[in-house]
Amino acid sequence: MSWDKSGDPRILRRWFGDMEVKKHIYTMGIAGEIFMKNLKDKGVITGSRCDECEVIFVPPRSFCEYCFSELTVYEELEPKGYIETFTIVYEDYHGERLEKPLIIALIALPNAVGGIIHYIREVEPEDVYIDMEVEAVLKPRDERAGNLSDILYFKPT
Amino acid sequence: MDEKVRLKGTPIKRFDETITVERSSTAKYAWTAGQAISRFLVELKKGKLIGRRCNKCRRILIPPRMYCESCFRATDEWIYVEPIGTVNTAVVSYITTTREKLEKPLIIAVIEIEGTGGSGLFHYLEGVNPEDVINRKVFGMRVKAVWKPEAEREGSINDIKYFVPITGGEEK
Amino acid sequence: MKMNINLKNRVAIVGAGLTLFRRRLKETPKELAWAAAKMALESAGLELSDVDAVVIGTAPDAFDGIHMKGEYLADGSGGTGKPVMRVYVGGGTGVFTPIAGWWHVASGLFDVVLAVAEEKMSPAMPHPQSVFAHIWDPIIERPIGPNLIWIFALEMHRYMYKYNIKKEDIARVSVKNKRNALDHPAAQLGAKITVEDVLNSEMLVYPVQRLDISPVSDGAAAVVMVSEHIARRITDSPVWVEGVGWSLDTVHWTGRDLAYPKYVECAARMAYKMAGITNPAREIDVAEVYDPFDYKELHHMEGLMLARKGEAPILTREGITERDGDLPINPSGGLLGVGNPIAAAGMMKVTEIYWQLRGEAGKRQVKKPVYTGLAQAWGDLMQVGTVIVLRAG
Repeated sequence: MSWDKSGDPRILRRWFGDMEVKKHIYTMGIAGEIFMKNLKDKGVITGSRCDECEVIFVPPRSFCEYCFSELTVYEELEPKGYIETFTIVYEDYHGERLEKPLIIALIALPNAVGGIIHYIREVEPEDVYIDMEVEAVLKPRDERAGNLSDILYFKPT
Repeated sequence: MDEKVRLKGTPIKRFDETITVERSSTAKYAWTAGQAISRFLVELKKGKLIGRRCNKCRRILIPPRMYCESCFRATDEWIYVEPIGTVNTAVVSYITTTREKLEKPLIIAVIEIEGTGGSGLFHYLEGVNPEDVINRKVFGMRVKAVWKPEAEREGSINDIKYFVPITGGEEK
Repeated sequence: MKMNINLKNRVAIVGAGLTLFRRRLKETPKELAWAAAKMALESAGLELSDVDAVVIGTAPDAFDGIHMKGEYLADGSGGTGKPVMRVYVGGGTGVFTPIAGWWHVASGLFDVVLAVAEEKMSPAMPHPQSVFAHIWDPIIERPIGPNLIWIFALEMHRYMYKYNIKKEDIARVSVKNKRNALDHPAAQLGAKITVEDVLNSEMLVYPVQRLDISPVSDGAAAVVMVSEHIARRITDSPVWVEGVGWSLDTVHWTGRDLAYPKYVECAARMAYKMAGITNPAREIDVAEVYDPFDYKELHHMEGLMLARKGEAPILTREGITERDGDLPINPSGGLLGVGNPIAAAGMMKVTEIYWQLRGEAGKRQVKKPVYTGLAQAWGDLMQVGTVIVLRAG
């Protein structure tokens, strides 16, 4: 048996290609559509309630993952919450230093399971703290498109 | 579950009937060809077809592998083979890879390379009409590779332009 | 003679669920999984808290456009806080999912397992076909620019050549399955068509025409699998899993016999041995065989040894595979009629056999009494076979 192994890069070849899928279009689903519509039209954050498990899911879900009930009760909530946890980003995707550090937080809503991941602005990184109360700054009504960018960022209340 | 049950699911005709978000995928890859396929590509560039022989099952593997998956042992040696074979199966494509209509139909075949003991290549077939495929005349037909001009070869399976029938009395 | 294997638990299917199968559904993949799983649990009279473990089956991540699709689907499949595994063997996944569910229970590890299969193909743009482009060898095969239909056409044509099969005999499968699907509540493409309609439909890749192919679909399906002592407690009509089998052939498909699916035969032999089946054509009363293309139903009937090589078209022509025939094949309407959300489509076949064996298939119920049924799926680069044999209790 001969393995004829070559490590010579002039002989070993590489072949270049890509994943040809141009893009994916994701539907928001039953609960997601309600969340986005309410955000766009009313500027509110929507949750869905499971009475069985006594929880509110934010963003809303059409089923409860704990008891498997269908959830049909949606609640419109003020776009306000508190910082559950946060991180400060100093570099961009390519490792370049950002001019101004970016604060990313998980914003929890009172008594809700889940939360919203978003930017925190109008506060210096050294002044942010866990449990800080924040509120959403929304795009003007006519610029909102029904996606998470309708919220520009959260700021301290 | 009988035919009267109402199942869940909300059909939509077009995506603009609901709220959607779009993302593009830009994953790019560099696949290493490995020991066997690297040599295969280098030889294609020279206008030669090469395989690996397994001395146990006596097959010549094309595309070559450094192992024989049947005997589960390392293959034994490199061996050049004539780029000649017989048509195992063939079809006529009226559509492109992405399902657009083709102006001129394309004939694609699996060609069993002669003397290899069953190794097949997946490639284009020229010099036959769609009718020859449809009336199954091409099955078992002897064919040979037509190479790109040397200057245009790049070490690719497409260095073989296509296969064409070997006409009567022709040797290669 | 049954295979002498030492199993801790005999396994039964006690519930089944489905969503609609459609070209595009508004629900997210996990909402679809939930709908099917919820229906399966309710039909079994069980709650999520009764479920010990979850098996999820779903095909390439690139269809739904979500990596770690198994993990993504877990909450909708009832997996939160539970042992969860995802299985994936291409188009064979839908039948492999309950096979995996079977060994979860048969091993004695779990008593109640929810097996859920989901596929949402519509997100992939411009066409899910582009996802299929990545199944080939990137260096030797992709530069030729293959379309998925090409390789099936190549296989179909070899099959037709070897056994001298006429296209109209293959088209009959499409006519039968689309007609059967008219009675299936999930069906996407139930229709009354004729052999001429198939033969006159758009030629895509000779010999494959538009009406020879199953559609692209979104959908989900689920079954509940339990150990014997649970089954005895909750139902009078459990459907027992009597045999399972799976097999994979080499990826070097250009060197294989394209006229005969050996990998299906290997999987079937394993399942038959376990179920004690020695003459499948006589002992299997009803079968759901994988039919993404019409010739595939014939090909697979032969691989499953339900017909002799080259003779499945004859059985079809003689009406033996109709719902009122001696060997009904795809009474659901199959992938050609009900739709083909990859993993969910295979699981749909298992749900159909489950309903047939319980006599609950309504207008789809086959005429003859049925006791033993089979579901089979196939996939990867035309190389995997997955088979499950079920028996009425």
